Amino acid sequence: MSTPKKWKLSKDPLLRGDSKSGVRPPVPSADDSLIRHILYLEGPGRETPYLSTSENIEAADFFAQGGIVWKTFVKKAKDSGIGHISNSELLSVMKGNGKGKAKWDDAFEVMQARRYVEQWAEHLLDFREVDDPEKIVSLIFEKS
Amino acid sequence: MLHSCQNCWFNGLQYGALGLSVGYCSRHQKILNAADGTTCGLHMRKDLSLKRAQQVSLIHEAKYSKSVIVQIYTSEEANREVSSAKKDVDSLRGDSVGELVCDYGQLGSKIESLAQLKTLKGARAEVAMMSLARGYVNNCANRNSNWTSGLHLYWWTKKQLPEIPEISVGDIRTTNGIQLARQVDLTAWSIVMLRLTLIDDVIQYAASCDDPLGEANGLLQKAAEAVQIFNLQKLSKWLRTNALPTLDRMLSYDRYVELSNQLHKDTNNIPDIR
Repeated sequence: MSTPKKWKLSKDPLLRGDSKSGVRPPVPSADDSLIRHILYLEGPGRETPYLSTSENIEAADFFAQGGIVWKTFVKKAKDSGIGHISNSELLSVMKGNGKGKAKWDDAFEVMQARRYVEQWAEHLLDFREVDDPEKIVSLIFEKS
Repeated sequence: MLHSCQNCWFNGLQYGALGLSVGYCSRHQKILNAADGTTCGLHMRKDLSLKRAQQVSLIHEAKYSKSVIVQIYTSEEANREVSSAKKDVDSLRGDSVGELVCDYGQLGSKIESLAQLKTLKGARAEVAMMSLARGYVNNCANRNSNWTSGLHLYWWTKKQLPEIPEISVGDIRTTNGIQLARQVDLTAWSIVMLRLTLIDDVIQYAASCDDPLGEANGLLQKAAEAVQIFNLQKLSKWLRTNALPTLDRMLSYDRYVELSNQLHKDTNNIPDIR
């Protein structure tokens, strides 16, 4: 009996389903609450300093919805000045009322967000310190 | 796709990873062939508490029309993604939950349809009942400002609250790449919390009518604070030892019977929301 390979930060890609024309750039100055971002409370067109990515092609493909799957690597992102909030980091701060940028007044919403992070094997790319997100996004992402 | 049809009160056939390959919109009366990629301005999120779902729906309805189902990415009207063709509906009716969901609002009263869903076994039937019940209770509360329209739905759901849902492999429509057993656990957690969300909805309406049940406010948050991991046994134990005693204090069986009798005596209290 075999178990699936564990995702490795040093060699496996981060995947994102987005439009065929490219990955939509984030807005570094937008509200940086992690729960707000993951729960997608403002819906389409909302501004966020984060880009959601996944370890799993199935999850990325699900979010592509007629678009395509893009990929990058943690090292490539970090070399361009982008922060990486790993799946395990996200899960570690999303308990109770959350910690740090995951602090939130509704513990139920924190748990719902935690469930999505686990179900989608989610990692975030953090653009809060990036000056030119449009340029960086086109630099680090390629078609999967 | 948290703002898609799969996560909407009015689609009783899907919730996250659980459900059939197609959904069904009880408002537009259409089969949803691609419920993860469609939406409309009537959308109410199943995964959020009443107050938050209402807040989010205001943002949503400003962007999408209530009268048509659209593709999320193009905002164009969904055509191939939906169907009301008789042969498709007949096919959906081959599933016992699908049949009741198709009939919801079409045959007699909606509460009768919800009662029939309650009698069906399985997680899919329960999710269908609770999803549609959230819309039903909200509609009743908006129309006649009386929380007791949700009395039976509250009581049925409370009885079920600490039970761990039995989810079969056929109930899962996607794993999204995670292990099946883990997907089942996470889905079971979401169903237990959906029960508590429906109960919380009724509590909110009761609070707005100054009924003592309104004092049970905050159970969703307390449950999430008490059990901070997806451990269903621990959650079940907490619900049995903390939530149920609180709920029973605020609405005893005797009072349930009394309110139920009042509800049935006054036929005007039975909402006609067909």
